[in-house]
Amino acid sequence: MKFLWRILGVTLFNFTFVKRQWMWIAQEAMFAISIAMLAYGWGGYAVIRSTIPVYIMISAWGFGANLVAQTVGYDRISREWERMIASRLTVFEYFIGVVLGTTPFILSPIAILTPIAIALDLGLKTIAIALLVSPIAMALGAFLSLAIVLRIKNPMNISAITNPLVIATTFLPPVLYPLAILPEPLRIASIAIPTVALAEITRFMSIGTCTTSLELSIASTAIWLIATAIAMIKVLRWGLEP
Amino acid sequence: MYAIEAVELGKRFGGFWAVKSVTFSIRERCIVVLAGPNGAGKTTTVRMLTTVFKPSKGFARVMGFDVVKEFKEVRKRIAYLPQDYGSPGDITPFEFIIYTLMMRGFSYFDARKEARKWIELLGLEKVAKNTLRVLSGGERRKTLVAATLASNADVVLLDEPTTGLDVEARYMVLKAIKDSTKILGSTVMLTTHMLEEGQLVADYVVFINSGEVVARGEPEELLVTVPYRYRVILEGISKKCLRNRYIDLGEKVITWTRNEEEARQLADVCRPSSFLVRDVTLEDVYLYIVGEKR
Repeated sequence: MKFLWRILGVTLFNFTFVKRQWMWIAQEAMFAISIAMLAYGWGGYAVIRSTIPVYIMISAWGFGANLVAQTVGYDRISREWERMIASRLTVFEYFIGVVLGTTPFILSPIAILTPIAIALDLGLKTIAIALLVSPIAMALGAFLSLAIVLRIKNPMNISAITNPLVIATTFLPPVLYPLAILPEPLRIASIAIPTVALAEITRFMSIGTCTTSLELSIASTAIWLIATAIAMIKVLRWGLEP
Repeated sequence: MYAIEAVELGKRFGGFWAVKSVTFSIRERCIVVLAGPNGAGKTTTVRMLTTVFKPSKGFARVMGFDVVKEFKEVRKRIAYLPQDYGSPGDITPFEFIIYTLMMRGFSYFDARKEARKWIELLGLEKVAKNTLRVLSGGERRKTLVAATLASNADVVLLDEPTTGLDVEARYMVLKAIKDSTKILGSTVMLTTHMLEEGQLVADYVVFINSGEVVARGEPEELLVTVPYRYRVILEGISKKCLRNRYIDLGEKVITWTRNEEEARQLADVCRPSSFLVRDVTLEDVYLYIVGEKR
C-alpha cells in the first residue's frame, strides 16, 4: 500500500505545476483544434479521418519525448532526484508518478479530438486505436529523449534539446502528411524514423490503409523500442553514481 | 551501533580526488556538524552517505547498513536536503511538505497532520498557502528543512540548511533541528559555514579540508586543541607588532592569545584604535586548523 502513496506523492508533486500553470493545457487544446481545422480545410474528410488518430498518437510521442524528459531533466538539475534517491522511492515509482502527474497535457488533445471524431462520424474505434498505440509512442519518445538527455553532463536547458527533437520527428517527416507524396525510395527509408512507422501502424489499424508494408513499420518500432530502452537503461542511474 | 560510520571513505572523479580519506563515527541521536572551506569535500561526503554517489574507496555505514551493499536499507532510514536544492515555484509550503512525506510512504492523512505540525514549528503559518515562488528565500529554506525533518527518518542529512536565512530564521531552524533529535530521536548531520551557530547545536564536529578529516570531536574537546583561549580583534595597527598567528582583514586584524595578560600586553605594544577580546569559539578552531596562517 505504501508504494501507492509514494506514487501518488510524486503525481501530486508534479500535478501542482499543471494546476497552477493551466494555460499550457489550453495551448495543447488550441493546437489540437488548429490541426483538425487545417486537416479538414486542406483535405476534407479523407485527410481528417487519418489526421485525428495520428495526432493523438503523436501527442503521446511528444509528451514522452518532451514533457517526461524535461521533468526528469529538471529534477536532475534542481537536485530533486538526490532528495528522492535518499528515500524508499524507487525509480519505477518515480517515473509512474511523473507520467501520471503530467497526464493532463496528453488528455487535452484527446478530449478535443474525440468529439470532433464523433461529429464527423469517424467512429470511436479510430480513437480507441490511437489510444492503444499511444502508450507505445509515449514510451518510445521518453526512451529516446532520456537516452540523449541523461548523457548530457550539465543539462542547463533541456527543452533546447527536446523541443527540436519533437519538431524534427513530428512535423518534418511524413507523419501528419501522407507518406505517398514522397518519391518511392524515400517511402521505405522513412520507415526508419520511429514516428513515421508509428503513424503507419496507427493509420492501418484505424482506417485500414497504409503506404508501405505494416510488418516493416512494426519491425522498425520494435527495433527502436529495444534500442532506445537499452540506450536509456545504460545511463539511467538511481543513485550510486560511479 | 553508530548512526553514521565512515572509514577511509574516498571519491575520485577522473584523476581528481574530491574526497581523499574521511574517517569518523557518529553515535545515534546526536547532531554532527561537518565543517570545512569551499571545495573541502563536505557535499561529496554527504552524497556518498546518502547513496547518491558510490564511494571510490573505503566504506560507510548508516544505521549499521553499508551504503553500497545495503543501499536500500540505508535509503529507508535517511532523509536528505541537498545544497542548492532548486525548489519548484508552483507549490505551497503545505503541499510541499505533504507531497514530500507521501513520496516517502506516508499516507495523505498522516502527511497532512505532520505538515500542520511542522508549519507551526517553523513559523510558516502565514505563508503556508502561498506558492514558494512568492516566498522569501528564508521562508523557502524553512519549508525545505521542515519537509526533511518531518520525514521522521533515523538519520537526517542537511547540506547547508541555514544558507540564505536571516538571524531569527536561522535560530528557528537550529531549534527545529535540535527538537527533532530530542523528540524524534533522529541523528542529524549538517554541513555549515556558520560555526558559531553550529556550536550551539553540535554534539560532535568534523572538520574537513582538501578531502581529509583534519579534526573531529565534541565542541569542548576541539576548543582545547588550539593553544589559544582568546580571540583579539585589533584595528589600526602595524602588523609588525603581532607575534601570534593572525588574519589580515585590511583595517582590522584577528589574532589569538593564550590568556588575558597576553591580550593586555598586545594592546600595550600595538596601540590599536579599537580592541575587542572574547573567548575562542569553534570558528577560531576552524580558522586555526584550516584558515589563513601566518
